[in-house]
Amino acid sequence: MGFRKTGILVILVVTLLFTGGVIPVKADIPVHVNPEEAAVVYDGVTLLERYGYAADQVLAKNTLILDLLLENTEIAHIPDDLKDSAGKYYLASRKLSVYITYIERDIDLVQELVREARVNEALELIKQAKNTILAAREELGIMETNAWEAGTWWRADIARKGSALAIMWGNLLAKLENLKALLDYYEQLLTIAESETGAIIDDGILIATNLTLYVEPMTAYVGDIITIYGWLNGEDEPLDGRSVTVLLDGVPATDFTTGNDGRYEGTLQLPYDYVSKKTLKAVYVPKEGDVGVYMGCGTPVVEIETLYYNTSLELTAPEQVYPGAEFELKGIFNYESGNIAESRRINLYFDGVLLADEVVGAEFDLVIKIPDDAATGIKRYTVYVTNQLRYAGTTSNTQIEVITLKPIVTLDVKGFAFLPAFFDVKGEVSSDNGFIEGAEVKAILGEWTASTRTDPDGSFSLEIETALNLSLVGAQQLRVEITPTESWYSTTSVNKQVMVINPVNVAGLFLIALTSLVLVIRAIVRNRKRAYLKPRGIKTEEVPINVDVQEWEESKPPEPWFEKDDKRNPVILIYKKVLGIVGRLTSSVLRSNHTLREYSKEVAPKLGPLGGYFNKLTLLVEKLLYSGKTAEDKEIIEGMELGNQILSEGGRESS
Amino acid sequence: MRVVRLAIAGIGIAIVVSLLSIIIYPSAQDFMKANSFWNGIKDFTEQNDVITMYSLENDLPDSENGVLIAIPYKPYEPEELDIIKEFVADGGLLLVLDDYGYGNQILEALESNITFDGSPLLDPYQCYRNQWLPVVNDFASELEEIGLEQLNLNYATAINAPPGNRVLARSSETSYLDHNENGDWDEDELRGPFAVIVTTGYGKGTLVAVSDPSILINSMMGKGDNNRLLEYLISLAGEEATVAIDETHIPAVPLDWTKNQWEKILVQLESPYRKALVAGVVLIITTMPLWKKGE
Repeated sequence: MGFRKTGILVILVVTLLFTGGVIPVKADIPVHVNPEEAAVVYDGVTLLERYGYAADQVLAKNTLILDLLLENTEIAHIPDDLKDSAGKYYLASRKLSVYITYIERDIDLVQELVREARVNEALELIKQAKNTILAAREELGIMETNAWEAGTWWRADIARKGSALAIMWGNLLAKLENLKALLDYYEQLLTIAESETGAIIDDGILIATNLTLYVEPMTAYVGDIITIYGWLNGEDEPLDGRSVTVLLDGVPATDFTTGNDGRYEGTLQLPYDYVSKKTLKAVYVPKEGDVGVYMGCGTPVVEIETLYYNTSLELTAPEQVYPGAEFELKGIFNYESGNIAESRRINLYFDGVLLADEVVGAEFDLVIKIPDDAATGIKRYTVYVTNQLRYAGTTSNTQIEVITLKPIVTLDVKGFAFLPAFFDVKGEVSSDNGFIEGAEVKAILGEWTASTRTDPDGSFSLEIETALNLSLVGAQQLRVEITPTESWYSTTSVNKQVMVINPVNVAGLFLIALTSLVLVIRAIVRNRKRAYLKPRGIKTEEVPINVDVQEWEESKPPEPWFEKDDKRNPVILIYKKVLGIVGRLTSSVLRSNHTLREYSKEVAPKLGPLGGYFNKLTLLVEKLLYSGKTAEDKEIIEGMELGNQILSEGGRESS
Repeated sequence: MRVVRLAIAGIGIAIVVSLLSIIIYPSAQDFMKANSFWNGIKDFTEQNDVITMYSLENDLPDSENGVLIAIPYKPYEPEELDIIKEFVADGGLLLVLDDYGYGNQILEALESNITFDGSPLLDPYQCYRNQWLPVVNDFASELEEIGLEQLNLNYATAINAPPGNRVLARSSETSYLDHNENGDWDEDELRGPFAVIVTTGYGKGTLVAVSDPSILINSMMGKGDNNRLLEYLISLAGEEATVAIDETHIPAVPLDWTKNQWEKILVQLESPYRKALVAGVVLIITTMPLWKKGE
């Protein structure tokens, strides 16, 4: 295996580490895409469908939905070119819807006025309704223009017949056409009513009437009684014994009968409607003998200012409460007028459930209990204050967070534990409310556990009985779990690192390690001594080891290194012989992990005087072997001389 | 000998390169905490001090003020479901964010009648860039009160929520469930609005189902009011909530797995005794050549 293969192996391992993919959760559907790289795709069918839907809402007079459609134009996925146009379309739809409401109301009213022979009022209203229809046609025109803008943009007008776009476009145009037809119909109704009313006047049979209305006082509190009076005349003559109806906010409230002078008078109690104004109107409708004789009539609307005492309620409650605990909900009424009510009726609701229905004073305290099993989180309490005569009702709410109280645990334990022995765990459990009594305490250290309960002063003490195991020494987690009995406390736990020591195992391991260490050190020292006993480069008097050369002489001659006729071959051959001699003399052979130079340095001290020659010869051989330069003759001669000298002296010594 | 040496050297280099790469190379895997690219959840986890859970059994926070976020893209074992049940029953807040995964396993275990539909929720009219990225703006009063106006989804589904459950957000009327996944609305396919966030109680705790886990990813956090919504949902567990995300049910590539293991190792090594142990091992390895020479 070469470096290239090693590199490939490295790349493979790293690649394997970094590759992989999401297990497809649903075939063919990614779980998401990069939103900024997602393709922008608009949908014309849906836009035209929305336009058609808006037209439907115009007919349904559903201004709330039309408002929503208008509001949502901003976030709607519409091409920028059509954004303004869509806004105009929805706004016109909304306006048209309101106009249609007005027109329908006026048409009903006109028909009623005509029935009651209130000719002048009817004519006035017909004129007003026709103006509204004109305005409505204008809005419908805006809708049509912008619908065509969208249709042209999407080429819906030339879309393939039967396609979704063509169908939706056709539907939209039909709906707009319906709206146009509706306005035509309304106009037709008004024209008929106008001609009927005109006919009554033209006939000149009916006598015109006149009615007045006066109210005193013009400003009153809700619930107060006001005086109403006025006169009914027919062609300058008072009409006696006729019934006049007074409308309060357009609804018949009371009837009065006129006297000899055509005067009518009476009282009316203002309802407890906490609004700032009320409207009154008097109406005369011919009945019985007057039918076919007198025209009906009505007075202009009279506005009266209504007064009442505004109420506000300020609630205060603790920000946080615990399950099972009680808390006080305090309330203070505020009255802008300074008129303080002696008592008020309140209804307290929680999550739509009535919790209390009480009559309270200007300030109140309600004690509320949180259920034991209440879930934690934000809870909202609402207080409804009912209307009371001149005092308007109000609503106020407050929210509290239901939390559980977390016990505070202090531990008194040693930082270490011996196996096997008892391990003491002491501590104290408290909370912001004081000590917690009777809480269950469970202590876990590794595989051993013990439990107890807290005393009245919150303290606890227990012993964990540990046993021997295979561990040596190391940090282990001591976990103490606290479970109070009261529901307003949460369970909690604390952890502490404890050094667990197993003296038996530690001692055994220590002995083994010590023995091994001694053996290793001895081996190292012995070898070092042997290898480096003699300083490098200093002659030694020690006689080289006597090695039998017989084996060497009988062995086959060394092979040349270079090509057959290379002049360096003799030096290499003699060097190989020298290595044999050196090996025998030093008992140290050239190993595969040796360079020639390393070997030479290692054995030279053991060769005595020959060491210097061997060093020289080794350097020369390295040069011949690895240098790119051509070997010189004198180097060959020097090599041969050095080799021969070592062989002759080395051979002598070995023999 | 030479081959063995090279093999050892190669493996050694591979280990070193891998370790360095694990530390330096960012994760690109979906929903991974270490992934700072568009599809990771690095921003979310950093903003909310989210703890990564490598084991439901060992890393679950206390139920008190605890929030468990589940992105169930791998099936659950019965024991794991028991752990989740106990967590919620004791008062924990469970956020199950799922679209096409195994969220219904959790909902069923919690005896809830809510289910994730599993069909893609598309909205061609109220969307960001295309119908696969619906925009929701119909919220319950509590979400409106915190000023939530727009929620952006990304390849979401819908939630079937029978009465009795609190729907916090609904898709628009123009949304539809693309049952046959052809990207077009067909006559037999239901049209919106559909619930996309639903909450219900279980024991002392709360379960919130969200029909799109992608609202957590870096590229979606800043879209609309997604960030505000997530803050609100977490706040349901109280002010000092401990938020943990279960990564064991999110498919991970070896890099993420290794990063997690590496993080665990680093945590383990925080103990001084373990540091000493590592120092000892390193010492032995580095002095091995010396031992060899002495043989």
